[in-house]
Amino acid sequence: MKPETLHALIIDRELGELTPETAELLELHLARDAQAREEAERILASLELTREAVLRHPELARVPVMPAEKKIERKPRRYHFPLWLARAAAVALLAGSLGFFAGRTGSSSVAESGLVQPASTFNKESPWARYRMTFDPAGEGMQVVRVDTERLKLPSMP
Amino acid sequence: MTTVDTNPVPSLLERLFTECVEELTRFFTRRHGVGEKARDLVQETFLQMARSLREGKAPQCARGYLFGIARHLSHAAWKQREEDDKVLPFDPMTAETAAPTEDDRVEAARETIAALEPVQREILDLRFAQGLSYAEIAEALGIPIGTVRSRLHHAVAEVRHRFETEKH
Repeated sequence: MKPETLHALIIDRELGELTPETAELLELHLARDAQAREEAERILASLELTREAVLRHPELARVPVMPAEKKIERKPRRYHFPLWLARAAAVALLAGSLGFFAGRTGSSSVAESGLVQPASTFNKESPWARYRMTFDPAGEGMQVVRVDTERLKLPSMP
Repeated sequence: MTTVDTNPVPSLLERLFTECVEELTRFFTRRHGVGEKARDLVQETFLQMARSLREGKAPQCARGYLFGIARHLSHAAWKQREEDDKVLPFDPMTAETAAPTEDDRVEAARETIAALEPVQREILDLRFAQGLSYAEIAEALGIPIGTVRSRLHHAVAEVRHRFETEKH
């Protein structure tokens, strides 16, 4: 049990704010764990000290009067991004959009321009070398196509 | 001839008066001292409670609601006093202690509590001096019950931290 949890449970039990079931479980825990019992004693001593200080010093209860107009108003929090981060995000978004539309409208021209490498030039050891992304002819999105059929033959297969 | 008791069950207000008049007197006495002022404030609290009930208010936690009224009246009385006397607002850090003590540990705890937020000090007072439950304190202060619990736990942890720091 975390020390903070034990702290909360011991105080709540002492103040009669624990359900009987939880109090019983706490008792079981304390009965089994000597270290927790010692910690509980220290928590109770602090609680008793707090109680004594409050009872002996009623002036602590006199809280300053806060006029209504001075009440703290929670304003909606505004997030400020650094300018460089906003610019970088805008550039990335623009590049992504251009790339997407270039792929949709003219895949051959992109290949010709040298931006896309032919499949044979990929590292054949890569697990992704066997796959290729193609556009669905029906225009429903992209498809993953397996291109390395040789590797489909497992050693045990005839 | 048999007499029929038309009101066998005491009304909520009567029951509250019976149960809470001493607690409320103690509440106001701790804040405003013994005397006429505290008694007036107790009466005013019950008058306001009666008014609220007459207007149809049905608080979930009547005792907490009653102490909520008491708290507002106490604040108003302090504000009035500050305006009348042109006194400085109360500062618990510099206030003279009501009961000087020989015990350094209690004094250290007092200092720690005085440095807490006002609402935390109110929670401690309502719990330890008035004996209100977490739910009643939540009703009196108009804050969630979880906040009452966590603020009280935090206050005790602060006192412990101070105590253990000074011990070493």
